[in-house]
Amino acid sequence: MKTSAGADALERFESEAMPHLNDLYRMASRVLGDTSRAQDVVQEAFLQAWKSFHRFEPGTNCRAWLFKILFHCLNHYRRKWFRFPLLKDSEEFLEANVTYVPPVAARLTDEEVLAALERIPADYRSVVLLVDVEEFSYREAAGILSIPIGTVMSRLSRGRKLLREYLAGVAQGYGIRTAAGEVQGA
Amino acid sequence: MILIPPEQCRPVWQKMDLYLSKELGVAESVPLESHVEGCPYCAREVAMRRHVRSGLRIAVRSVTPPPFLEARVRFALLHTAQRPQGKRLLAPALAGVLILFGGSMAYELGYLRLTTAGQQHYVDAVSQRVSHLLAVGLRDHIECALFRKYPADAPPAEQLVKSIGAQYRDLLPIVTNHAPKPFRLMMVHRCRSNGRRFLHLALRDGSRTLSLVVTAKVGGESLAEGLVPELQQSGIPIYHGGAESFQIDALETPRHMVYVISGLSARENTELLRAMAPGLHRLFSSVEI
Repeated sequence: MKTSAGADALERFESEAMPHLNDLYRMASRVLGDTSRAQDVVQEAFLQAWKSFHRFEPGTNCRAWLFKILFHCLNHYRRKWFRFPLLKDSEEFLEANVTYVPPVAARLTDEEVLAALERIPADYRSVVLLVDVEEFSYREAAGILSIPIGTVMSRLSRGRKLLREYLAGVAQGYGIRTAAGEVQGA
Repeated sequence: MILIPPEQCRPVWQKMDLYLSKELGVAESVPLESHVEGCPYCAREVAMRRHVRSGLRIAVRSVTPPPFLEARVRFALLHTAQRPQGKRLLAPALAGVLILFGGSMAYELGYLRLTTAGQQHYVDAVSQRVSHLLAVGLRDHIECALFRKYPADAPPAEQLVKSIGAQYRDLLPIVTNHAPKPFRLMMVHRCRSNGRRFLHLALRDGSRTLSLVVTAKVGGESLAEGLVPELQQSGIPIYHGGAESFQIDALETPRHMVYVISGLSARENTELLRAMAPGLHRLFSSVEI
């Protein structure tokens, strides 16, 4: 009976968790900048999630729960993330939104975008990835990273601004100038 | 052209990130949208920010995990789940051993992969969940198609036919015409395992792998002994099994067993072999492996 119950639990866990494997791997590889370590961390995250599965409430947000566990595992590899000195969150958030940022090229290659992303500090990069790529809400991202929503907002604004600055640098390097009518909105 | 917001647009720019992240309530987003529609500066800035976000999403999502990552994680979970009750203290040690085991494994072309012993353990653990004749195809799929590296681009058809022989030329269109659209034929080869010879086609859609495996019957074996066919289409029985995320469907000719193995749903996997069955049965009733 125990064996059967254990097999059923594992099957339930796999059906809930495995569909998110690729998303977790993408996040880990972009945060760590190292695909082989990302595999190790993702495996560790799934093992931790399996051990905690009895505490997971069916019907709740499994994806956010897994990402929270992933970042807990990622912290073991990057313990200095949350010691990054920040301005007061509200001031920085507002400041990042209204200062000048040059335009970027109309065409962006994946390589250029990923290279620019790599240059962003890891704590900003994580928030940009959670919100802009994985489409978590600010509240969900705050819960995953165990930080206040205000910190999510400030890091997101700074991270987006830095990304755009780096991409604009790529465009300027090619001598590409964008005029008002050249940018295609998404 | 330099984009610096006019003074009257500064409050809009301050909320633009919130607006683009759909974090603004209706009371704030409606007047913001109204302003943006009538303001070329703000419209340009919204378009620019959306452009960058879109490019970021596309670039990051273009990255695919290595094909064996799912197998590796499932193996680790299976190994952890099969520990006897009451030995929970070993869990961190076992997980640590698995991580260390993984960390000390050999690298091949920049990818981390399981050692032979680890692969074999995984294959044995999964294969024992299906009948032994269905396990023949499943084993070859896991050993040969999952634990390997693939080229970035699909090889040309002529190169694939060359690698297995012109007598199988008709096989490639049978498979490629019926395989689900994202899947591309990435590998065709002959292989050997446990004394059997196989003809193996592997298709991938980025992260998922689908195999067509053909092997000659040995010692009068038959899928009909011990298995009940799921479907009988055009008089060709199809036999089905599943283990973990793998679905296996098989048919037989007088001298061969033909398998389709994938991570598709049970229905999709069975329908795929059903669609290919007449062509496969005709081909492998006339050629030898």
